[in-house]
Amino acid sequence: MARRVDSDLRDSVIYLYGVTQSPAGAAPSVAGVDGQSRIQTIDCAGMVCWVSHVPAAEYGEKFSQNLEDMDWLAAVSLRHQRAVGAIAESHDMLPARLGTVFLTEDSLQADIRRRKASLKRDLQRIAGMQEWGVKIFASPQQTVLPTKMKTGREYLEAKSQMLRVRKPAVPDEEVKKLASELAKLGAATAEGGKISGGARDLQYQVSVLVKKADRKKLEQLLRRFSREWKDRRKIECSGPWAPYSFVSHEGSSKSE
Amino acid sequence: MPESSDNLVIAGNDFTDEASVLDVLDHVLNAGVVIRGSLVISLAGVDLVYVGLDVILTSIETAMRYLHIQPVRARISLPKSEKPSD
Repeated sequence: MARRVDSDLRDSVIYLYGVTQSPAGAAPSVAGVDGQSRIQTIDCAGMVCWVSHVPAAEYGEKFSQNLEDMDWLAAVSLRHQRAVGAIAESHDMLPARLGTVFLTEDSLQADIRRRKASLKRDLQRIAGMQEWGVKIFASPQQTVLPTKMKTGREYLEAKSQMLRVRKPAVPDEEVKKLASELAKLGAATAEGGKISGGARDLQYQVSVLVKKADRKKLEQLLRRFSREWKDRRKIECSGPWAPYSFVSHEGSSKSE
Repeated sequence: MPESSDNLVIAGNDFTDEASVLDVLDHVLNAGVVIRGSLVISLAGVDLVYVGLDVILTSIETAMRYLHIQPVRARISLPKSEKPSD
C-alpha cells in the first residue's frame, strides 16, 4: 500500500478546486476532475485547499495540449464543476479556475500563503452567498413562411429572415428594470460569460451574487417578470454556482 | 429546484445539454480564482504548473467554434456511477 502511494505521488500532480475557511468538513464523495481520484483537503495558511492527486502525464505538461481537445475539455470542465459544486454545497468556497495545478504541496502552500490576505477578504465577501446566472431571451416571433415560393433561394432568404438574431444593442426599459431589481436583490452582479453569450435571441445576461436565504426572493422576482413578459421574453436561470464570477483577480496579470 | 413554466426555466445543474456545457465553460474557464496567471512548468526550480491565460483564451475561442458548429458532439454526460477509487 505504502509503495503504491509513493508511486502515485511521484506520478501525480495536485489539482486545485478551490479554497474555503477552516475547518474542512468531510470531503464529498464525487470523483475528482480525472473521474477517478478522490477529493482531499490540505490545510494552507489557516485556510483549506480542496484538491485531487491526478496523473501528471495528463494534467501536467500536456494539460494545455489536452485543452485543445474539445471532448476532453468538456468532460474535464464538467467534472471540475461537479467537484466544486459538491464542495460548495456545504462550504463557502472560492472556486479555482480550471487547470490550476501544482507539482508539489510546497508550491501550493507558498502560493496560497502569498495570496492569503486577498483570499481571506474574498472568503468574507462571499460568505453565505451563491452565484446565479440569469439570461433573458426574446421569444422567437412566429414568422410564417410565404406559401408561394418559387425558388430555393426565396425559401432560404425567408428562412434566414426568420432566424435573424434579434438582439438590441441596448437593453430596453423592461429588461433594465429586471436588471436593476436583480442588482438590488443581490450583493453584487457581474457580467455574464462570453461563451454562452453567443446564444440566439439573447437580450441580456448577468451573474448575481445572492444570499442563500434570498433564493426564494430571486425565484419570486423571476416569476413575476416571466408572468409580465409572457409571450415576449423567456427567462433562464442557472445555479446555484460557487461564486466563480465574484473572486478578485488581483495579481493575476500575465506578466507576473 | 428544476422547474419551468412557459417562459421561465430555473435549471438545476445537471449539465447534460449543450447550453449548460457552455455555461459550465463560462464559469470554469472565464472566472474563478487565478492562483497564478502564467505558464510555468518546473522552470528554474519553480515547480508550479499553471496554464497560461492566452492558452485558456485560445481554448475558449476553439470551444465557441466547436460548440456552435458541432453542438451534437458537445452533448456529453458523465455516468452517474463515477466514483473515486481508493
